[in-house]
Amino acid sequence: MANTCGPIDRWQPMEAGDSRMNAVNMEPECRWVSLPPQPHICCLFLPNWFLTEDCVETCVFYPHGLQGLSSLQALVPSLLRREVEKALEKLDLIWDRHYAWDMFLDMMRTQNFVPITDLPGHFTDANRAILVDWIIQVHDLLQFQEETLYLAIHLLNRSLRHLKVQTANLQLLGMVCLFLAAKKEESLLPEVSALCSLMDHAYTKHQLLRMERKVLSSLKFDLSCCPALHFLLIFSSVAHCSAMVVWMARYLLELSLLEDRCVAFLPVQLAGAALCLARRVLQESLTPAGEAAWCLASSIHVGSEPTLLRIMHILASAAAKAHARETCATFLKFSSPETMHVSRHPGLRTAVGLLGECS
Amino acid sequence: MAHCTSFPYEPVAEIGGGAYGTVYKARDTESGKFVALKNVRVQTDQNGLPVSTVREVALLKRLEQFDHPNVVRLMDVCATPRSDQETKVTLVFEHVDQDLKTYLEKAPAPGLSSDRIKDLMRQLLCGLAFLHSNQVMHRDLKPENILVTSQGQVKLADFGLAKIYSCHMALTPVVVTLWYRPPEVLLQSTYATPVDIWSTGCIFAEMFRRKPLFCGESEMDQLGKIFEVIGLPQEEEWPTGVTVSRKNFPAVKARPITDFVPEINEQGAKLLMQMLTFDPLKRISALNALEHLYFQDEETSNQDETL
Repeated sequence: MANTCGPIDRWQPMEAGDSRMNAVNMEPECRWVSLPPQPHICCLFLPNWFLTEDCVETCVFYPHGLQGLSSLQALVPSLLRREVEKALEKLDLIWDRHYAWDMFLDMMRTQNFVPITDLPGHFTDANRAILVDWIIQVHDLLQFQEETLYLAIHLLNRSLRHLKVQTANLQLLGMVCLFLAAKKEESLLPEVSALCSLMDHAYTKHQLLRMERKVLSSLKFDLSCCPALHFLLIFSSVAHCSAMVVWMARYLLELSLLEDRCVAFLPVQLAGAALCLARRVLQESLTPAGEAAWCLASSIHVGSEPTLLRIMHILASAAAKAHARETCATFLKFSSPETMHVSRHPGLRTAVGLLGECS
Repeated sequence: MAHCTSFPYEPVAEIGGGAYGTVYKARDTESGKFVALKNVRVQTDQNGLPVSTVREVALLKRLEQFDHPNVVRLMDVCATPRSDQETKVTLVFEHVDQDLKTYLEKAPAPGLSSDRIKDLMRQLLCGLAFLHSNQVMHRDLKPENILVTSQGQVKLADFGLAKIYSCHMALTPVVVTLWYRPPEVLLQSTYATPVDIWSTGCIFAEMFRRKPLFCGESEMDQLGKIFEVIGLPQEEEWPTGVTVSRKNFPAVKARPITDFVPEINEQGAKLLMQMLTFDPLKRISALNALEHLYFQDEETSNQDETL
């Protein structure tokens, strides 16, 4: 099976390299206080890194008496650490490599999400999808960065939890979330009047600015989020994924924004699931080195495989019907030649079948 | 005071007409705990709240997630309109009764023990290293905004608001103390996180002296007082592109720091001099300061017997 983690002897040469062993840094991962470990985060440091997403059903156990097992296990976090540092540097997400690993751990620790039960009752799934689809179109029109879109939807999800907004004002709320995300992320900002005309002047500038204050106050100015996109780019870099896989994963990840069921998952899980699904759909043949890289990247998700599988099911069925939906901004965006036409890939129509039964 | 909707804080007393706007001690009506309310007025143009305010307050909120023990808790933030041109941003911090200034004043003669000073310094530098690693500089560190809890825990306050405040300060006539300002700020040269290390050095000396190290009355006077201690820097160290010429100052030589801080031990004096280094690029960083021998040598520690 192409996705299966390579046999254990593939790791032996690394174990044999003594100089690499010395580089193992077992310093505590936390700089000042020990935070209560969260199950999906502490798994990063569990020694059973060799489990991959395909080992969900069939757990692999180490044969007894394998030499150097403990040192081999200790090696993986440092290997992963080096790869993550390289990825962060390549993606220009850090300003000093010295702090890279700390930053990644901070990203893992401070992911926040909105439990789905908290979305207001009158705001149906269909309404939410229409609003998000509209935000995606405006975001595209204003040529904002991709991070800005993820932040805007994150702010929207949280605002909906904290604010009482009438259905008639949902569009205004969506626009304000995009505007605030742009204030946080973009160097060039549109005029408020331009935003009003994008809403056909259904709302005044005054209303927009009042909503801005309302949102900021209700969110207590907390505008930080770890976009799932960053996790996706880090994982795909660690896993040495092909451009095609990355584009398809980005497409699937953006589709997740439209799915209200995805609100409940962590960014790191959404990113992992999008990448796993893209690989399954594309079925690219891998070199042993590529498989090893994938195995290393997968070690981040140890323990959350059932969750990833659930998300993959949601994304697969969303992708299968994306072309026929009313909310198809993302489908159209990712059908362009620049994105390698990934949204039109025939494999996506039958992706659900690749996954088997959802547990 | 205009309040945000459902603003659960009841002002108890004005605790400072500070340089940066009024500070109130207030009671959280839900928990009964005291908080410190800081109101900052920001100009709002036709595009709403300024980007700098949005970003800086968002950064403070992000820092809050890490729950660092040496940084004051930011418990709440809200924005209320005052007029079309102005919005009031209220920052709600945990209230700590005592700052380092009163802590030093209240210490009985002959002042703090060297162990106590070392502990305070370690905590202060821990807080700073945390801020600096998150690209936040304090820019106005002084004994008044270093809080000391009744358990002796150091908490930095008033950080990361420099830009918001400077917005506000344009509106209020204020006197800001120069005593903890580094040369690069006094010379209006470019500056970054090393500014806080200079201020920390001044405060380190003050913990032993129980009075400030450099008490200048103007920018030039402040620089003169600094050079009397660290000596006039070499021509090549003088920053380029500043209006103040090196020739304005007498060519004084550095004097031993122990002339000014006689109680300090040898490693402490070395660390202090690395903090009071004229060139900000050569000044020690907060992380490196924490690794300094001063914090490792146990000669002044009462832990000696246990080692």
